[in-house]
Amino acid sequence: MNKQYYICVWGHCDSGTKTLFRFLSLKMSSACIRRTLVAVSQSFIPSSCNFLAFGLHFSPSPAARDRQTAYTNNRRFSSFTRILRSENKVTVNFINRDGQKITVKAAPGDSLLDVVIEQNLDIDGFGACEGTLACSTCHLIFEEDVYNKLGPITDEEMDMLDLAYGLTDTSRLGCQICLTKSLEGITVRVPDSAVDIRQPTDAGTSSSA
Amino acid sequence: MNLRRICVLRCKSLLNSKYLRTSQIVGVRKLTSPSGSSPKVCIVGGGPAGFYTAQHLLKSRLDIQVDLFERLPVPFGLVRFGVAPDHPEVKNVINTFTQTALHERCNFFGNVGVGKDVSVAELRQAYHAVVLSYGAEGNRRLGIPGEDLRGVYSAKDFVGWYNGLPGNKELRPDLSSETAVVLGQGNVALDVARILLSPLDILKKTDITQPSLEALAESQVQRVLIVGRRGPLQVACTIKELREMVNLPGTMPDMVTTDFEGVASVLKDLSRPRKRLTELLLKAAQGAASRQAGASRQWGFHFLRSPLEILPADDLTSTAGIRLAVNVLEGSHEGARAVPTGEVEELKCGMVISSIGYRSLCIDPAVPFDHHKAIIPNTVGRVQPGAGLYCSGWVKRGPTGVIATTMNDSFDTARSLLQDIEAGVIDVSSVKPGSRAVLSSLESRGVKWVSFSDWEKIDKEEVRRGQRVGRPREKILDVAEMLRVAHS
Repeated sequence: MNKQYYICVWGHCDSGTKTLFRFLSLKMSSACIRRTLVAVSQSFIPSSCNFLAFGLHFSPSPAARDRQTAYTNNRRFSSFTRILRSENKVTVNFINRDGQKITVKAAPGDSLLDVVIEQNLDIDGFGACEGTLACSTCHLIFEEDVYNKLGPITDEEMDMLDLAYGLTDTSRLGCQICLTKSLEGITVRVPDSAVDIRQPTDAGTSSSA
Repeated sequence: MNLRRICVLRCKSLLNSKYLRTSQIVGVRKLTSPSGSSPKVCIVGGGPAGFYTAQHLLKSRLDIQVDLFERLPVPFGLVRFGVAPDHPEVKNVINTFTQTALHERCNFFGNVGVGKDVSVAELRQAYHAVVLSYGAEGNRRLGIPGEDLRGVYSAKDFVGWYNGLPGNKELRPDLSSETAVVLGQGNVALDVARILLSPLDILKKTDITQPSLEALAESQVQRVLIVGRRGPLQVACTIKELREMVNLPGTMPDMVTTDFEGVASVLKDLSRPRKRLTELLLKAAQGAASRQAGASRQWGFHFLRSPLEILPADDLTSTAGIRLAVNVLEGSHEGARAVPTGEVEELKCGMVISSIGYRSLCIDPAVPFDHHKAIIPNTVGRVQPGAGLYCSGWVKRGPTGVIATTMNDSFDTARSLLQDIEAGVIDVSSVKPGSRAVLSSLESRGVKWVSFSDWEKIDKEEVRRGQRVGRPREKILDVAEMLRVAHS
């Protein structure tokens, strides 16, 4: 039976375990998956890596799939070419809530949520819904010229962004923005999260989810 | 629930949840108390507020120990019992809560009723600090005649019914009439309307309980009116939920366009979120929203109406209709007030669901409680400064907001608590017995608590039962059975 697979390959490199690459494989049979993994392992192991492991993540439940598709469709489906060699990386600067600047290098195709997760950045409460467009906690503020270069915003993203505290004209949800080389060196600001003594936001005072 | 099975190597930071960050769980700031004794904190309530408070405490100090006490055998509170079954992605937060519960300095104790099995005073003796995060178990009453007729339910109970909350197992709502009226226009009201009108094909793939699925399959409800006191510019629901109603297969909106007079002209003055919401509402009202062929079910907002009385049928026990006062608005936008005109309207309906808000209860007389606002009085989460008593979540702020609102609020309370430890307001030099003392009292009272690994047995069993019928899980509906599985 053809299932949707999400494949993650790890390698143990000198500097620790790294994700070599990930790709979403649509509707492949399990035999095809096996052949793909063998081909991948023979062709794309960086010399610094001395150990490989394969992880197979099966597709999410049908009810979640539509939202998952909205997330994954924004990722570049450039499967075999997204290997984490340093020359392929994009530098991103985050200005955290306390004003501290954090500079990281990340792979093109990763979303900004992926970057925060993988680099273990200390941003309180970021990405609560795990990138499924069901919250606004990955809200980031971009510089205007960068904002204008970003991909189109869907109604679904805007609906959740509308709930974000401190919404600006150059705000986007980090889980929907995937890095490309043209975003090299950008600086994004983590907005303040709501504090106790605050004005109730327009749409943020309703209960249930 | 997302199905993720890692076949070969289990890499810690990529385990279970790809989005679980070690920085959330492992202490990042290396703070320890000068005297070397470890601060012990007890949290009452195992829902989002409890878990987010615990998470922030554990991450901020490497010496803090946190024990979570939960009334039910199962954790996660409204994430399990409040979030609609067709919103599974909102429940992803369960992954991060699970990691918090599995933290070596965190313990979960289910099936312990604070205020019943153990008092808050005993907890304050056993721990350096107690955080009350027990949410809002009650609901606001309408306070009108006919409220106790058959066919009238609070949204909290209706939602609890289709989500498997043990206390609502016997609700058996009467779904035999054509029209249902929902009072209130927030997201809970829309959840109720959507579940009442959703095609079975959608519902049967969710974790909605089997008895409610069967009841909804027999439902005669074809029309849901969502009634509010004020106008279109004051609806409390958010655009995502409204869009879901507009796009709901097999249904069509049915609204009175005169209710929207003057709305189009103020659109340009509204903030973007309110503007987009109002535009969508207008579109739906004007019928420009997708009018699907064969749409047999209808939903609509009914504005400027306040409930006066629920009218009984001839048998005097069931509902036949509702009498509403017609209002006019004074003022504008958020501050507008509904003022009765004296006019009255009657609607025929067989079911009334009151969605006017949850309400916190006072679980222990020793805890200060504001009965008017139904919250624990506090300042940034501190109850009685200096006393080592705190609160977070709905019991602190009132029952509004989404999970992310509670998250930020819980972080605020955790920060207050941490500041108090650092400032010496909480004396952590004294050694406190923590769970040892509490558990021995519970044992002597015959209370069988449920550990987190016991909950994992319940979880596995529910998923197993669900798989048999092609659903994410089949929730266990009563406490006795939960305990039987937990302690098997």
